Amino acid sequence: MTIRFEGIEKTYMVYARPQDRLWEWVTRSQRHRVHVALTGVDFKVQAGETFGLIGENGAGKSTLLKIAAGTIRPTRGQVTQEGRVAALLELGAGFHPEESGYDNIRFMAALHGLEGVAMEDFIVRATAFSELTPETLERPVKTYSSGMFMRLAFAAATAIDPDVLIVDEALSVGDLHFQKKSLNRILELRERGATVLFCSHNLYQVRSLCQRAAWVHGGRIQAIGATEDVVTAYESHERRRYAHLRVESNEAAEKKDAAPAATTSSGAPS
Amino acid sequence: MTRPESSVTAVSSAAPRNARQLWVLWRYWMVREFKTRYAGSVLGFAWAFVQPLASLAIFYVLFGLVLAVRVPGLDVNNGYLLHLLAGLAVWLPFTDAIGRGVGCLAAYEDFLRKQPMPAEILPAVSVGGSLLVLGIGYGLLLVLSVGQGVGPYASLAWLPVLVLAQIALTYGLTLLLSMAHFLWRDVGSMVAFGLQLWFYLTPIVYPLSQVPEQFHRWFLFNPLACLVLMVQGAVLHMPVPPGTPVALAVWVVLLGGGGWWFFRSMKSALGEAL
Repeated sequence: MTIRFEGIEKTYMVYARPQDRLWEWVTRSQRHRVHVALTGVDFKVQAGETFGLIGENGAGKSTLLKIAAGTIRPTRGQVTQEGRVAALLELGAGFHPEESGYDNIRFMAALHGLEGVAMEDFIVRATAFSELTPETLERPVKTYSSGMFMRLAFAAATAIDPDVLIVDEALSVGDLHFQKKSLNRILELRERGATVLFCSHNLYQVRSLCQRAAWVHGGRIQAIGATEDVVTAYESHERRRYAHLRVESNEAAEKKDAAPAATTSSGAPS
Repeated sequence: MTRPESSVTAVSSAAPRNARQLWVLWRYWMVREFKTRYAGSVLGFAWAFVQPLASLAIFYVLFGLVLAVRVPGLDVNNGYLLHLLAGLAVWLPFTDAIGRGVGCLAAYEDFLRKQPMPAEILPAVSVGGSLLVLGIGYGLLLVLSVGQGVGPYASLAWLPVLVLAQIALTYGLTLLLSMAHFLWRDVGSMVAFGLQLWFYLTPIVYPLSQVPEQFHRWFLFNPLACLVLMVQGAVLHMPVPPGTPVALAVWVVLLGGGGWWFFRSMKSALGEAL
């Protein structure tokens, strides 16, 4: 039930043109640029712990979650986790829009290798969470509203009763009802002793849910430890990052006072 | 720097899937493919039979009746039909699997990035989907040949081996082409054209004996021709050129193993397009 990252490094090979990969394969000489997405990631998420990942967009959070979920392999290092893993990297990934809600749930069950009674059990749990009527579940998923779709996707992803749950930003979409419901489901899994690893830009959520957190910055773990410390460090970094904006807008305001006819568009650089 | 795959120390146990789990998923996915393929059609499942029978009828009328191709060494009524059927029983499932398998990785690119799942299962589903046509083809061949008084010969015992060889060949090539298409989208267009050419380079609509003797050994360089000749030999007792069984075995190892190797060595490119 633990997730252990040991010396994880992830580099991507970037090819300028598709034929470069072919030439590299044939001639065995390097024709790509190496992009380092993650390096030196070395920590362990304890069993039953709720662990948060924070950081800017493009810092490597999603890459780390994908490595944890097993959809991509690390270039170096090793990731191990025990127990049943459910990954919610994107709500509804793998759903077929032409198929009915029931058929999509069945497919998710098959993805976990369930059949027969275990599959029926899975369907019952997923439908209960989704709050969709049997009639609706018979219809193709493409006819659903986005709220219905998200409820079904979240239901199908967590109905496995995972020991390890990996969630990427899924909680920040949807209306309040959905957010509350999915949060409750995560708390319920946590009560049962599941390990939860998730990333979020909602620092309030991270503070209230996680025992520990890590701040990912530029492909490295910038800080790791008790949630409050890490989140505070990240917040002060963000404040520093935008400090110049405040200075500039102050200057602009001063300028405006001095010469009211001057341009006013410099006040809010984006 | 060598290619990173060789220096990988990564042991991803992230998706601990045992064989049973894969087996369940493979079967479910195949059934799903069948359902969606014939969903919304009036004839439904019957299309699985109509398509191979229609191609059989077209080639039979064109080559058997209009051009009146005869098969030396197969002196029964409808000898050409049996010869054609033996060829199509090999060819149709092969082209069916390749045709649908080439695009499978490209089509599920986003899926593979978001759901932990071994990518090998996608080509396996394409090959699995062609097993129905394979069964229909071989079944029809056996029934008709015995009905016409050809056999059953003791050499039929080789048929299961040949079917296994065919599946291994097809799976290897599907692995190879699906990955190649994922990396270089030119492959899909090349395959569509290549399959047409390949069909006429394989002794299906014409018997090998109609081809001048000096070209016969060139057919050993065509894995499908080796397979067709072996099936024609086993079921219809037609003469098999020397060296064909060896060539077929080499092809199975080369394409089956090579496809698997290529797929594994390029697998890291899946799910990480930047």
